[in-house]
Amino acid sequence: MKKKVFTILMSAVLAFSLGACGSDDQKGEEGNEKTEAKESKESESKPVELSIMAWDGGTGEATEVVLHDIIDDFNKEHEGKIKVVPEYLPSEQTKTKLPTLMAANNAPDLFMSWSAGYLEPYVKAGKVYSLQEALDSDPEWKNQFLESVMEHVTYDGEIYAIPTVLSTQVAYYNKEIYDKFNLPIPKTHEEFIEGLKTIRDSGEDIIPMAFGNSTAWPSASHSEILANRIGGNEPFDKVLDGSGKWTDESFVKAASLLQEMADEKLVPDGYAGMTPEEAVEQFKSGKAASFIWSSYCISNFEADDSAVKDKVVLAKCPTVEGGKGDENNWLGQADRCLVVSERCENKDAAVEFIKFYTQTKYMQKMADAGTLTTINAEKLDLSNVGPIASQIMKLHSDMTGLFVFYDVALGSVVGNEYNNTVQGIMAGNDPQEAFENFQQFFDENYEK
Amino acid sequence: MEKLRKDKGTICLFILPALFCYLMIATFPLLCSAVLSFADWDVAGLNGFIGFKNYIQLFTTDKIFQDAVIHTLIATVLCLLIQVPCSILLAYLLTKIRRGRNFFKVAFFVPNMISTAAIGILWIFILHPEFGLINSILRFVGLDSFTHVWLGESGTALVCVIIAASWQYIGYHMIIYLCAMQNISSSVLESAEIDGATSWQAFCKITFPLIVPILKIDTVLVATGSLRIFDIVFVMTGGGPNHASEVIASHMYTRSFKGMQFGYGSAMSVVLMIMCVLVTVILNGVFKRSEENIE
Repeated sequence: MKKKVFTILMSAVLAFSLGACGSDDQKGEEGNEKTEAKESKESESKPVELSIMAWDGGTGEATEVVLHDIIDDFNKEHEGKIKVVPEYLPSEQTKTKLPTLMAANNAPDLFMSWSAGYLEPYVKAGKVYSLQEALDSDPEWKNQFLESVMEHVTYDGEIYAIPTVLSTQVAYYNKEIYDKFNLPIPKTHEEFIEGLKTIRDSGEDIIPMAFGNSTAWPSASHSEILANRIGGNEPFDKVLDGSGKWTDESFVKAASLLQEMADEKLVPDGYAGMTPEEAVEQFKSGKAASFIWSSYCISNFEADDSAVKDKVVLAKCPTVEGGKGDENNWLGQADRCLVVSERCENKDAAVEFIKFYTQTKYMQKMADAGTLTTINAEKLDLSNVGPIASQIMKLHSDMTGLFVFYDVALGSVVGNEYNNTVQGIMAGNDPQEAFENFQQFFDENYEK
Repeated sequence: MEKLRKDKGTICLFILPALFCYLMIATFPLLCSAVLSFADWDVAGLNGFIGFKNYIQLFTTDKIFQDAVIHTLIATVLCLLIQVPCSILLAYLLTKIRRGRNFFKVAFFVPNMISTAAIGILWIFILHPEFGLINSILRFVGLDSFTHVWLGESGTALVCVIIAASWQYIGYHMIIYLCAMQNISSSVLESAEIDGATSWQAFCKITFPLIVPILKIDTVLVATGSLRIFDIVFVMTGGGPNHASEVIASHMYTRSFKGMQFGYGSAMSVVLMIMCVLVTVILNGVFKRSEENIE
């Protein structure tokens, strides 16, 4: 009896598992039939499929909205020939997903990336397709981009990516507060600090400079501007080629100037625990007098709920007295760089998509929403651009150079450590000693 | 049937599918990771095997890792010191109260049902320097000098993260102890009461010794859980400021997925695994000895 029960049970298990397999198979077959049917319906020549990993954090930023339009329009126009299959994800997630896919040799045909040091390892490893040939064969397309920006995606003389968006660090001033205290818009760091001290001593509840440093890179980016204003491009270039040291005066002094700002309480109390987003909010709500920050938040300040909508004056980041740096050298980076993988099978189609993406039509849409694009401003119609965005586009017209964030240039491990070093100094570490330690870390971990 | 159950071949046959799944999901990746820890694997793929170089770098030049090890050990010790006594106390109090036991049981367990990311953000707000609960209370009672930028100062960041993590898990461990205590036969406690034992004596002499086996398992759970602490660190501080709250897992994450040094990250994961095994063995040893003492 028991044996019988066992046999029945066993056969039930077998039947069940067979059934499971069977239904799986069926599903698979059905799926195949469906796709086949689709393909034959769409056109006689099968459309080329292009996978793209595109940034969309769901923030409703202009670039993200336009991105969807571009992909939809492209698929409509190329129906039956090329089909772009997007995978949307927030840019931060790219940082983990892309390296994993790359290491497994499984990258999408097209993807969005940062410039300079971020893309460099992929280029060196031969994972990225050079766009130089495509650009050379279409000079008109090539010439619409800002030259200083393309330098950031040029490796060994060849361009490997097409940046579409530009963000630079710029000084924001709340004109109402500056007028109230009769302060001029500062030209130099010293003037800037004097002004901030006046505001601090006024006894009014105004934050002299909006700031939030819980993520370390706000302090780092500010120190990079100061270091460049003190020593120009040379110290950083020298460090990269190994002939210079991080203990160079410009780096140490820049960080100690920041330390001084923290000690003098020119930044909000508790800045170390506040996020950069909170800093944006401090300025946006009109509580802060100044802010040195990325151009990406211009659209925030132009928004309807902004208290500073008509009160923002933009200026080039202040110079440092006696420094070698030029105020027309901007800190910033090219963003949303479109890259074609080496393993992409239809590179021509991919290039066609990039050309479609970078049409003036779409770039104009982004510019109208206050986004800085990598297209020459001459090609765009600035009449619809917001009041703050048009200020920065004008300031950009005398741009002589663009230097990239150190954490982008150095790669994420060493770059992150630079950020941490400056954060530590701002919190009270000895600048000289901290940079000596960083030099050691750099020697051990930086690979050129 | 009985015969079949005794037949080792059949047993093996039935275990096989589950064993296979387990090996593929748990053991195989573990072995892969161990093998990779001897390799130089970056974005370009495998660049060959480099022997113990990853490990040598970990223990000689990587100061961040060495700090992370210390932070991880501090986290483990603090988690043990906070979570185990608090959860035993709460469980004991729950066995004592008559009304609202279920309410408190659920109330203490709720943090476990919320995702760690949400808890991290909740605590970020509690600890916020400007409008956070803690600083607001301190300012309200006039203790302005005690306010801190809790997550932004290197002295307090790690401890704050540990407290948040402990807050989340105390309810979970409390349930474990509560089960253990409710399993103690009430006749034992009643007879102690009749013999004139105070409730403190009853706890020390009867309840506590009877939950020691559970304590043993739970301590290992707390210890290994806090050695692997990652998610709450990642959400609350990201290891900062200036690596002050960096733990092994967060450093491993940064190096593997941001720095694309997968081999190096694997070496760290192997070290972490060895630490977990060691701690488990040590704790088991300690408990064995104390159990012998009790007997």
